[in-house]
This record gives sequence, structure tokens and C-alpha cells, in this order.
Amino acid sequence: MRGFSTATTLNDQSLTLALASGLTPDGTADDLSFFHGFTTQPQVVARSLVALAEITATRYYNFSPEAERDPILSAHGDRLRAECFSACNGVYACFELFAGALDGGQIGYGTTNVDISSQSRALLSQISQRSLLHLNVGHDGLRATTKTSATCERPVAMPNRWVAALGNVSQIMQAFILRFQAPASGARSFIASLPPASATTRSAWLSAVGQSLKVSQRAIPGSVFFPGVHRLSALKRLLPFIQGVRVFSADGEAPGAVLSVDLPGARMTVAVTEEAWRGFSGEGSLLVSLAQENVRENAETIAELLAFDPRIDAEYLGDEASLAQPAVEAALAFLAASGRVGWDPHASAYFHRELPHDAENVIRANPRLTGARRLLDGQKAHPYEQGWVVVSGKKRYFVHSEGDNGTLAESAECTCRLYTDHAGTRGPCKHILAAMLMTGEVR
Amino acid sequence: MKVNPKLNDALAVFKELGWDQATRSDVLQLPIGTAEQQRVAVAGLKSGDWGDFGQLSENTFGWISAVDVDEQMLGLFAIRIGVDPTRAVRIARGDDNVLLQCVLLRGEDFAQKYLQQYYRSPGRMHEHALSVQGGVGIGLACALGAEPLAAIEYLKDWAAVTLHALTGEKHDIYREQRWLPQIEELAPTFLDHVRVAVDNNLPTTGPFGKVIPAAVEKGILTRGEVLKLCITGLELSVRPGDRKAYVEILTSALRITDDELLDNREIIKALIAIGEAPIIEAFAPRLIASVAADEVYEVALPALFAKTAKSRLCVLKALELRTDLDSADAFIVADRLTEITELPHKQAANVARKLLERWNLQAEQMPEESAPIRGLWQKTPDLWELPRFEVGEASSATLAQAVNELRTRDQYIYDLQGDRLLAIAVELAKKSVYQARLALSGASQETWSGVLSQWANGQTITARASEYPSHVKMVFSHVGKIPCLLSTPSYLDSTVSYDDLRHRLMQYAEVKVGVLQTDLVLALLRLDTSQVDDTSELPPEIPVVLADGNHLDRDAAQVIRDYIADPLLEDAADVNKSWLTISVSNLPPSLDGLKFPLNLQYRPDSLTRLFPHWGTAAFTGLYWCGQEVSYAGLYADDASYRAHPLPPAAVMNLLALQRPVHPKMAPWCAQGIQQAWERGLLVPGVADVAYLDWSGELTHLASFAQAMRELADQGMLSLVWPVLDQIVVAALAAPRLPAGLAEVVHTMAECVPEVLAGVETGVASKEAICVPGLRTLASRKGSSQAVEAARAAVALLPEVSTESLERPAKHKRISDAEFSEVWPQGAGVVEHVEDGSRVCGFDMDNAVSTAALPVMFSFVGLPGETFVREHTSWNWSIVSEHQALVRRIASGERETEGYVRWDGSQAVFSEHRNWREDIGGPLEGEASSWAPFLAKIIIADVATAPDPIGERNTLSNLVKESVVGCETVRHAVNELLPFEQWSPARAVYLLESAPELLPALWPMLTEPLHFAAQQPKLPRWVNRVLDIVLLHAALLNEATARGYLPQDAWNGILDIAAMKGSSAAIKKARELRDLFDSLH
Repeated sequence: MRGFSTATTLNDQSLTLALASGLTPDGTADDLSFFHGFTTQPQVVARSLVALAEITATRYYNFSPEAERDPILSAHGDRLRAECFSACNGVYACFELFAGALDGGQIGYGTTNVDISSQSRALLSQISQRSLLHLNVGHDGLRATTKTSATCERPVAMPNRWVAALGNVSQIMQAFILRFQAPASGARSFIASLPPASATTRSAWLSAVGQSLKVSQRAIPGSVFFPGVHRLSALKRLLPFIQGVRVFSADGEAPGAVLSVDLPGARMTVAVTEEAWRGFSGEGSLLVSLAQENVRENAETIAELLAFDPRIDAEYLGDEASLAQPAVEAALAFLAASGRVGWDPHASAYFHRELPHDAENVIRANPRLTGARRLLDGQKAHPYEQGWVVVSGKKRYFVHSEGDNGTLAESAECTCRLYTDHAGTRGPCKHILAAMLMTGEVR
Repeated sequence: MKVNPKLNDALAVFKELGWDQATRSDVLQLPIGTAEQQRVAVAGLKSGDWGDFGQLSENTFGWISAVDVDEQMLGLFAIRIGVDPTRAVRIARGDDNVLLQCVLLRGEDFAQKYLQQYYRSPGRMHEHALSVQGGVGIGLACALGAEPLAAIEYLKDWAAVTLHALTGEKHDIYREQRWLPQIEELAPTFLDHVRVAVDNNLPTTGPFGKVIPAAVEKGILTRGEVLKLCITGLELSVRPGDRKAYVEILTSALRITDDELLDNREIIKALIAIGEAPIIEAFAPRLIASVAADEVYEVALPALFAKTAKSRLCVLKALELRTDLDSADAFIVADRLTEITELPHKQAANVARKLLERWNLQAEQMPEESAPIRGLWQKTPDLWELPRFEVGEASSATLAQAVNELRTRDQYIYDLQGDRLLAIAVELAKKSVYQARLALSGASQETWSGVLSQWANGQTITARASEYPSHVKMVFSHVGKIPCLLSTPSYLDSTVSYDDLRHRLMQYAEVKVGVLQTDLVLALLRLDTSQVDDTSELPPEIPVVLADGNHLDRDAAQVIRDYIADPLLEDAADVNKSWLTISVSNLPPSLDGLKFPLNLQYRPDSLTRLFPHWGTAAFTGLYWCGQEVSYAGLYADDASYRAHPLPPAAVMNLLALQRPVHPKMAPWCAQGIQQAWERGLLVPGVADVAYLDWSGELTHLASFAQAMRELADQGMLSLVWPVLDQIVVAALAAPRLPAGLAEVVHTMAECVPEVLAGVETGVASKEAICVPGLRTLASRKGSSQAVEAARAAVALLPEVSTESLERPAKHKRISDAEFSEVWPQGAGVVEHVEDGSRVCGFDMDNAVSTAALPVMFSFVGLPGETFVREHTSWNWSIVSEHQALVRRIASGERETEGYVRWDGSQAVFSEHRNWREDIGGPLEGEASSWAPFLAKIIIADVATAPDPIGERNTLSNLVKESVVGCETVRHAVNELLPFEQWSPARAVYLLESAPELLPALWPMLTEPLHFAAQQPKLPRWVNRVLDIVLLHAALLNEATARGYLPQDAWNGILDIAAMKGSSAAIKKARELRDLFDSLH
């Protein structure tokens, strides 16, 4: 059985991760090392990790410094990937260190998370571009070694909310496409112009004009709305190394935006929510996928086929598991909801990262689905006019879908408060889910 | 309020033990009773409220106690007899040694938990102030000698207390603390606290920033320890203010050496990349000078991205001094240097160019290729044909959708979406109230103030018979009974056609119900009365239902006929540009007995859809207020649905709204102007810059210029081009060129090729190249960025014979009529009562950055007493009750807060605002007598408040109402001038655009000039004062000639003009000397 060790537990307050210790392409190992060797870009590595630490320790809405610094570190054979969320959960950051920036060792496979404390952050900050940085990444966490001193970080507790946020960020980012990019000069000028993290929320419309990135306070044709550009401020530390910038967003009313900067042998990607005050958790965007038939069983089947792939080939998985593509997508979404796969907007594909998995918790974390099933079981939904009346508590709600607009998942509207307040941008409400269950659109 | 059912038993024990008769100082000696008594007391005190805030009298709200004993004593009793730490924190009052000892008496474990609980969310006056029980908090920590709490709130208190202990500074310690820990108690854990504070990012912009250098000075911390901590703190800080403070400590207090900088250079390099001026200016030049040659570019590259030109220049100069750099490595900075050569800052561009030349990195000279012409000057689109407004089908689904489509929910605004929802609700409820309620079942309590939700839940909606009844409430109190709404728009501009109105009225006649008064009035306001010629077919005897349920004394048809004959026209509306309110002086008699659907006096903003046939007055909602939350974007969108081209004020403010607004509103603003343009509603040349932000003030021009550039790129160049030149014209008329003008001119320069192309193709007229503002600016002397950019732009334009604009006609004499309009005879002359008040400074110890400095004053008749203004942003009691909230300081007495007033013969202090009744709350009865000390307070505030909009308005109103006259102002200004905190430059701001205030406020000009002339060195503010005098020179000269001002009033100018030198101030004074007849 591939996966996490039994020491990994999920409690109310925190998810304590063990390494996906034993699992590599060569089989289980108790004392694996994700990477053991040198990096050719010591300052890129050091400053990127400090930038991640800064993000995890910053609450960008009603700014206040916090003390949460638990990046997740995954090894995919061709890259190391460190991911984190800001203290406010409204910013997701992913640092990828590619094999081209590493030397003298092989990148392994697995996942852990590390706490970059103020002591190790200070050490990282002193690393020069000329220093010899020896990276030793294993089940103990990340070891940053210089010629003169060393510090070792142990895996630490990870906020429970990160798991839901990982699932939601991966689902949201699937709608994002590359809108434009700019080379080093334009990218650096843009990053240099960013307001500090403590600035009041400032949003902007970004567009590419020639070699530069134009920042506008108005919605101009072809621009991408970037909510809260101050949330990118940690990237300033990387300014001298930035080789280009890419901006991703979804069509229509985008639930946030993504920006990535290219670094020598590395890349830093930052995704932000649609509002600075909103966190990534609670988006509800996975609900439809989670309500698909046999999704839990299919997810287990798919999970057996994963091996820390940096890019998951869904078609291959479908063939191997004898599942249709919608079922594979739903299964992957289910795995995403538990943080076991993430979405790479550059590759437009899932990647595999192992986190302890609790299928029941996925359901628990999505109470709307449970609520919808309960409504159905209690026969609280019935057809009315061109829609459904759903009785919830003492209230009646009307679920309707105008015209022939495809599936309910795409077009249903409800009169409940969740829907009217957010116009469906936070996933279907339990009344719509109940109607979908009734029609058999989901099971 | 939840009262513990066992509270009375506990109170009985409290009294049995004699606590009700004791004082706070007895607490530690008082008995706590037997175990049984303690059990009973704890049971009654461990939970529940001891009172609640409520209404004390008709106009007074306050604390209503549920216990008949001293709550402070009860709290201490509860702590002593054994309530848990959470409860103890909640009920503890006061911040003294008694409370501290009570907590300590409960043992170390309890004290530790109390400390942790208290610092979960302690209350404090402002970010850095000592919290309400901070003395006890830090005292407990000292007494426990425990590890510092890693909690920001705790550390803030520690810093405030420690700073006080080190330096005696009380700036952040509000109220007189009777007990605070001393340095001996703080010293043992001092270093630990600083470490924890640094690790936890304790802001250095507060007391902590002063604690560090003070600790070094007192020898408590060594320089080495502090240096290390400051570097760590600098690296960990996220706020620019904190980083700046650390830089200040490192460079000023610790005087960090070059070697120490080199030791920490990697950290500094990363910090330089953040791009903040204080870090770059303090460290980048020094590092560039001292690092090895091959490391210089690592420092220089990020430093060259500094946000300020000054910072970039100092980096460039440092690079210039390094002559040992290898040009082979310099390619790293080549791109950035090339960019700097193209930035407006000339000096930096020159140095960058030199460096590029030195390193043979000249950017490849591409043949100057002009940008392709995109045809941005386009023909104005034809005026659109107004479509009809279609409500659509009424069903549960469409009604639910209508809720979802509301552009804003929290309050009802008059818009198409609201009209659609109401119309569908009325139509659907006619068929099935159940379906209508079902559709609205999800509406939240916030939507339209809960009306929808309440109605959906079956509650009865009652419209209040207030002056401006809610239309929504009226509708939902009758929904299901009425056949339709009269006010539902017929067309997209919200016009109601007469035919529709008549047809709808007939439906009412059929079902024999009355029309709703709000609905009728709204329909009338939307009716195009000019198109109606026959009103004979209106059905008779349909009553008009008023908000209170009664009927109007005439039927609906009569009201309509009367209104058509005598409608409310825009002529009756007067727009108050200061407050953007509208006063309608004469409501037509046809509306007698009917109320408006909203109060025009409270900044009404959804008027666009209320008055579809009005001009300027209907667009006051187009008001730019930065990124604050407002509905301005919605009104921008509404403006694009008019039937006729927009008036000058509307076009100007629609353009103004393209500056940064709240992100929620930005798409609406952009859509509004785009639609208005496409629908032919924006006619080039119509916009009038005098209406910019409804005040004509030239502010936020840089962002305005950027927005205009973007609109030009969208094909609206013909619209924005004349506006940009108008801005330049207005700027030239101002006493000094406004900030952002350079950006405006740059934008014009960028647009010149497109303008020329437009003229060449004939789509633009030749007048487009006249641009008198731009040409006049270009002809000005000087080398400011605006002037140089204007020259560059004009160089691209063909010469035309256009008269250059002259500066405002300050050399001309003012006509009699012009003068009398601004300065009527007797204006500004108000009897000055000598109240014996004297300004004696500002209380800097209690100054806060968010309000005016607290001015201090005394009265001749009250020797030994000083009064300090309290709550400096609150002027209500001054204006309305003629008394000021102050802190009274009398030698040998405790400081007391209260109100000072003038009783007609002497100043009187009262601890109570309602001094007639000796109680709190607003003063009942007439205001006290007005006295000059009140004016002095306002005049002081005008120059010291951080954003004195309210203070300026207050002073302006006091002048306009002839409450404050020139003699009082003269006294006030002369008393304030000796204090450097009071800057005349800030005080005279309101005179720039309000010459009508000069009859009373001229001493704000004459007295400072006289004062300045007596100083050994001219103060910096004198230029600004002279600018205002120059601006209004003709008016002031005429007033002096007429004897409204003393002949010697301008002697200050004479004295300054006579000074040696050629500074700008002296030149201006000489110019004025020549202008003023009285000075010849």
C-alpha cells in the first residue's frame, strides 16, 4: 500500500503530516531523501523560501503579521515544489525548483512540510549568491547547510484549513489560462512598483503593452483584473533574479488571478482570491465533482496509479483504470479536495502531492453535499412550476433553471441566501445540489 | 442583558462582608468570607451581566446598572473570592496596584492565565496606546518574572510602559496611571522582551522604536546586541514604516559602520530589492562604495528600481564614483539604465546616460520609429434611439433572478433593476402571493433594509408616515392588492410616458384601489410633461393613499393634471456644490400634501433615475471619492441611459470617475463612459473643468491623466483632448501649478500625433491644435517637468496664431460690481467680545496623528487654570452649544474633563455638558453665548488637523453666518502665530477658492506677513500666504482702498519687500508692493 505512514494524523486543529515516506518509484523507503546535493542558484532558493515564509506569516487583509510558516515541500523527480498559503488564506504561493538549478544529487519523490523559523530564515537571508548551498531534503524536513553553520527544521503542524484550500485552489486554477507575459525588464519594473504588503487593498487591471506590464486602475479592454496587488509584494525579494512574468486568469468573472515569475532554474507562482478579505477555503467549487457517482471508489483507484507525477496524464489514468474521462476528472477533484493532487496552471495539468487522506473528512469538509443528501432523503425537494421547491428548516426555496442552458450545475439558480449573496460563485448551494441529485445529474 | 439568577444571593454576601461600604483602597484587607459564602458568591458572580447600555432619557443613552452596588468593587470582590480568569478579566475595572494585588493573591497559575486571557483582546485608544489595564498587565508579567508573551498586544503594552520607565514619555499612556512598573522591575527580562518583540514584528513606529535607542543610551542593552536585533527586525518587518524606523535606529542611534554593513550585506541586498527609499538611500550608496567590484551590480540592480527619483539618483551617483567597475559585467544593469534615461527626471537620466557611455553600453540607437497612427480621434457616435424598458414575464424564476441582478442590495436605490424587481413582484403577487414570497425567500435581512425578507416571511410591512417615506415599504405594504406600479419606467432612461401612466391608472380604476403616494410622485417626476397636451381621459376618483393610510384630499387624476400644468422643473433646484445637496426652493402646489421619495438634503445621489428630464442637478451622484465605498459607478452607468447628451457637469464628473475607484465600482464606471460614448451622449467640448469633482479643484491630476490616456486609447481622444487643455488653462490660473500637471501635459504630448492625424484626415477640426493652455504653459519660464513637457508637446504641433493666455488679471482693478458681490459693505464686521481667552500652545504630549493638535488656552479671569481641547475632531458642541469639550488643568488639582463656556461675562467650566441640569448629554435649552475662544479653537484646528475638511467647513459656515468676524480672527491669528505647530500656509488653504470669506478672514493674511517680517529668517510658509494675497490682490487692494482694512494692514509686505535678496518670497512681496495702492 503506497502512501503515508500511520503516524500521520488528522486532528481537529491541525494536520500532522508524515512523509509520504516509504513511497518512491523504487518502492517504500523509511529514510528517503528528496534531494541531497547542491544548488546552482543558492540565492534564488534562499530568497524564494524567505518569500514563502513571508507570505505564510502575513495577513494581507487588515494587515497583521502572524507566525505561521509551514510550507509544504514535495519532490517530483524533476523538481522540488514548495507550497504555502498566507496567514489570511487569500494567497497561495508555489515555488518550483527545477533540476536545472540543482547539482550533485537526484530529486526524490515525496512530501513533507517544514517550518522556516525566524532563525533559519535569518540563515537563509545571509546566503550569498556565491555561497555553497547544500540542500538536504528528507523526512526530517529541509536542511539548509552552508560552510559555516547549519539549521534543521522538523515537520510541523499544518493548519487544517490548508487542506480544503489546496483542493479549492486547484479547482479554481483549472479555469485559468495564460493571458499574457512580459520579459525581464517589464516584469522587474512591475514587481518593483508593487505596494507593500501592509498597504490598503489595491486592485488593478493588468495588461501587456509591448515589453512591459501596464497597470491600470480602470477596466480596459484586454486587461486582467488582479485583486489586491499588494498581495504580490513578497516577490520583490526576488527582483534581481526575475526573468519574466506570466499572468493567468479565467474568462468572465474570474474568482481571483494567478501571476508567476520565472527565475533562473525556478519559478514562483502566486494565486490570489477574488477579494483580499476572502480565503481560498470555502469556495465550494468542488462540490459538483464530489457529488459524482462512485467518486470515492474511483478516487482510490486513481490514487493507486499515482506516483508523485509532476504532470498527471488524465487520459492515461482513464485507460489504466478503465474509467471514462468525466469519472477520472471527478476522482482527481476528489483527491484535490484532500490535497493529494494540485493543479499546475503552466502545464494545465494536475500534479501529485501526497497528504494524509481521509475520505470521510472530504465529505465532512463539504457539508453542503451532506445537507443536500439529507434533504433528498427527507423528501424535502419536489418539482414546482419549471423548477423545484426545496424545504429547508422553516423556509422554502425555489431552484430553477431558465431555458435550455445545459446542466443544472451550469445554469441552476436558487432563491436561498447563499446563492443570492454570491450569485453562484461559491459553488452550488445544497438546494441546487438536492435538485441535481433528484434529476440524477449527480449521485 | 442576561442576569445570573443567583446574582442577588452573591450581592447579599457582598454586603454581609461589608464590601458595599468599603473603598477601593480597603480591598486587600476586606474579608472574603467562609467557604460557603464564597461558593454562593461565585455562583452568582461567575456569569451574567451587571447592566446594559440603554436609553436614560429622551436623548440620552448610557449604562444602566442591574446592581445596586459599586460595580468596580463587585469586580474586585469576585476576583478575590474565586471567579475564573476569563470572568475575572471581563469584570475587572481600573488599572492600579489594587487590581494587580487582587490577581496576585489568587496565585501564580491564576495570574498567568489572567495575563494570557487579558491579552487576547485588550482595549486601547489607538494602535500604540497603553491598553486600558496595561499597567496591571505588565505589572503582572514583572511580578511573575515569566517568559515574555509572544503576543503583539502584550508587547505593545510592554513597549509603552518601558518607554515611560526609560524616558518618562507619556505620549501613548492615556489617562493618569496611578501605578506603572518601573525600570528596575522591567530590566531582568528586558533583552528577552526585545528579542520576542523583534521576532513577532512588533511595530517600531510606536514606542518600541524609541525603546531600543533609549535602552542603549541607558546602558541596558549593548550596541552589539541591539545591532543584531535591528538587522533581524529589519529583515522580518513587513511594513515599510517599521523598516524605516529600523533604518533610522541603525543609521542614527547605532551609526552602523561600513564593516558592519558588509557583514550583513546579503540581508541588506534582499531588503534593497524591496525598493523603499529609506533603505536604498541609507545603505545602497554605502554598499556600492564598499563591496568588491564584481559585487557592485548585485546591489545596484535592485536599487535602481527604487520608486523615487531621488533614491535612484543617489544610487546612480554612487555608481558614478566607482571607476573600477568592469564594464563587461555592467550589462546586468544596462536595461535598467536605459529605462532611466527615458524617465522624466533629467538629472538621473543624465547620470544614467553617462554611465552607459562609460561602459560602452549605449542602447542600440534604433531609428526613431514613430508609433503607428491608430485613428484615436474618432467621429462622435450618433445619438441613440432610446429603447423601451421591458419588465419581462412575471414568474417565481424571474422574480428570483431580479433579486440576483440587483446592482446593490444593502439599500434601495432608484434604478432599473429595482424598478424591474418591484414591477415583477407586484405583477406576480397579483396572481400568487405564494409564488412571490417563494421567489423572495432567500433575500437577506440586509437586502433593501430587510423589507423583502420580512415580506417573504409573511410579516406585515408598514410604511412610516415620516417625511420621506420609503417607496419600497409603500409598495410591499400593498403588494398583492395593487394592479401595477405607476412609476415603472416606459423607457430605459426611466421616463414614464403619459400613455403608460393613463393606462396604468385605468387598471387602478378597474380594481377600485388607491394609488400609492410614493409611486405617484415618482411617476410624476419621471413624466415628460412637455409631451402631454390632453389630460381629459384620466380616470377620476382614484384616491391617493398616503404613508399613514389616509387619503389625499384630491384624487390621482387631479394631482396629475395639476402637476402637468405646473411641474417641478430643474430651475427650482439649487445644487450646493460643497455638500452636493439639492434644495428645492419652491415645490409646485400640485404636490401639496405629498412627500418626496427621498430627502434631497442628505446628499441624494440616485437622482439620475428620479429626474430623467433634468440636467446638471440630476447627476450629483457622479462624485469621485477615491477608493472609498460608494455607488458612484452605478450612477455612472445610469448616466449612459439618458435620452439627450449629458450636460457639462455630468461629462466632467463621468470623466473624473475614471480615476481609481473602489474595485467593485470600477467596471461600472468604465462601462458607463463607454456606453455613454457609444450612445452619442458625450459631446466633445462640452465638459467643463470648473465642475471637476464639483469643486473645480485640480487634485489627483496624475491619475486623471492616466485615465484620459486610456480613454483616448479607446477612441475617445476627441472627448478628452479639450478637457486636458482646459485643465492646463485652469492650472495656469492657480497660484501655483498643481501636482500632476506634468502627467497631464505628458499625456497631451503622447496624444499629439493622433490629434494631428485627426486634423489631417478632417475628422478633427483645426481648432484642436490651438490648445491655448498647453501653448501658454510652454511659453512660461522655468524648467519644471510640466513646462518642459509642454514645450516638447508644442514642438510637435504646427504653429498657429493663437493668443497666449494671460495669468489671472491680478494687475487689473476690480469693478465695483465684482467687488460688491464678494465683499458687500459691512461683511466680516462682527462685534468682538473680549472674553479674556489667550492661546497658550498645543498639548503635544497628547497629540495623535489622526486629529488636530489639542490647542491649550487660558482665561484672564481664571488665573492658574489651563484648558486643553479634547476630542479635536468633534465640533458639534462648539457650533451648536457654544461650549468646548476640554481638559481642565489647575495647579494642585486633579485634571478634569468637562466643558468650558462663556456666560456673557466670564468663562465657566462645568464637568457636565448639559450644565443647566448638571448631567451628561446634549445641552438642553439655548446655547451659551458665543465667545472668541471658540473661534480660536476652530482657527487653530484648521491649520493642525491632518485633513481639516470639517474644520474648514465649520469656519466657513461661522463666517457666512456672521458669527465670526475679522477682529476675532485677528486676535486668534496673532495668538497662534508664535507657535510653530500652527502654519498659516495650511490655514489659508480655504481662502484660495473662497474669496467671499476674505471680509472676515483677511487677518489670516495680513497678520502672518507682519509676523514673518519680524522674524530673523522668513518662515517657509510665507510663500504660500503671499501666493494667496497675489491671487486676490485686486480684491484686497480695493477693500483696503475703501477702508475695509486698515491702511497699515499690509505693512508686512512692505517690510518683506524691503529685505535684501531675491528669494521668491521677497520677489512676490515686491510685486505686491507695486500692486497695493496703500503701499505707495
